[in-house]
Amino acid sequence: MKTPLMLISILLFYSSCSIFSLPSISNKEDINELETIITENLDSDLDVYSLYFESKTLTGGLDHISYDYKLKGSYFLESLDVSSQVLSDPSKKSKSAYQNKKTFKIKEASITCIPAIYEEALQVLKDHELYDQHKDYYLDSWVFRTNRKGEIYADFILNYFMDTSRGGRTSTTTYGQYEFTMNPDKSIKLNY
Amino acid sequence: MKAKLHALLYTISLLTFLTSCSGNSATASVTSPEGISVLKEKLSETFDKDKQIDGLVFFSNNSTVDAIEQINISFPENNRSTMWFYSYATEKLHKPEAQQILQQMPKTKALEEFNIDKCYTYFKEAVKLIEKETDEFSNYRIDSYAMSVNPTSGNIEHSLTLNTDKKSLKRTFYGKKVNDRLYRFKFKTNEEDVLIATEGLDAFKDE
Repeated sequence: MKTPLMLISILLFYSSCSIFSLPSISNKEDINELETIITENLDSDLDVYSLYFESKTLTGGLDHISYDYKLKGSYFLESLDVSSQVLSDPSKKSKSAYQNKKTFKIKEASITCIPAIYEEALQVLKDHELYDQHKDYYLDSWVFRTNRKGEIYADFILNYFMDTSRGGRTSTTTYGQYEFTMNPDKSIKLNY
Repeated sequence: MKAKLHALLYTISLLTFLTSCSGNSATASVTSPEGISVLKEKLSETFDKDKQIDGLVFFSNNSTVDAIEQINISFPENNRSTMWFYSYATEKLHKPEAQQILQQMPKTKALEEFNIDKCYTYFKEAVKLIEKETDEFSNYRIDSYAMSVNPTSGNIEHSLTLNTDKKSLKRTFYGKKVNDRLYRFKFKTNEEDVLIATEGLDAFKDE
């Protein structure tokens, strides 16, 4: 298994963060809301190389949706801040990272399947006897990409809390991580 | 009593306002020909025109104005890289003790060889370069303007940073964002003394 990761945060900031409640891609009840956010803020016909749903670590609450695309020969990455629903300025990316990469349309990457895939991933952990019923597993990262054939697949990460130690005004949180891949046929695989 | 105090405060603020206004026409800057002549005057009364220097930098007071607040000159002295600066706030030339030992002797030129009029030309050129690409920005101001002697060619190179206001809150492909309204662009001259953009205008340029 992977070595534990660390999250260091100033206590003040950490506690102030929990006030906001953000929609979660692993929660079936939030999917409608998320689809509305996407259709209202993003161009669903835009050809993108990846579509990334990112949460603050150990929250599972969606923080940013980012995607990269080509325009007039240049490549850009931009992101939508979910709570303010404001799009960032596009930032230019290096051309070399996009050689032989294939695109898909934002609307082709369906998020409706994610809650079920998340449940499947938990089942995989149970099957491998990695699941601890006292822990929460946060779907903090989900990225749609394409393989060489141009088929859409996804890489996603489940984070779980391990330990917090406090020293002065900072706290250090240790957490563990399981990485999965959802194949184009929606079968899933635990990477480690 | 209170009314009197108010009146007094009002008079004081009015006076400050008036003085700051009358001072405006005589503010050192590189963004107008008038500003340039005020700046040149300050340079000649502050520094020796024959002083051999390797760099001259103008800094604005803050991101909202482009009145020059500080003038730096740098030069080698006793094998150390020395920097003196004139501050408009203190109205003094400061001569901090040089710390950094020079690894390599820089090329220098006499202060009078630094063509200050060119700063205004390059400023206008920079604005033209931005406006050729986009009309999303307005109110172009100098953040800093540096001239330095190229250590190999001995040419005087210019580089400048502009602060501008983004007209709308719509996202943009141009400029480096400082905050929602304030965006920054950078330029420098190449070997042929032609001004080129180094930051903020490369979105659709080939790498």
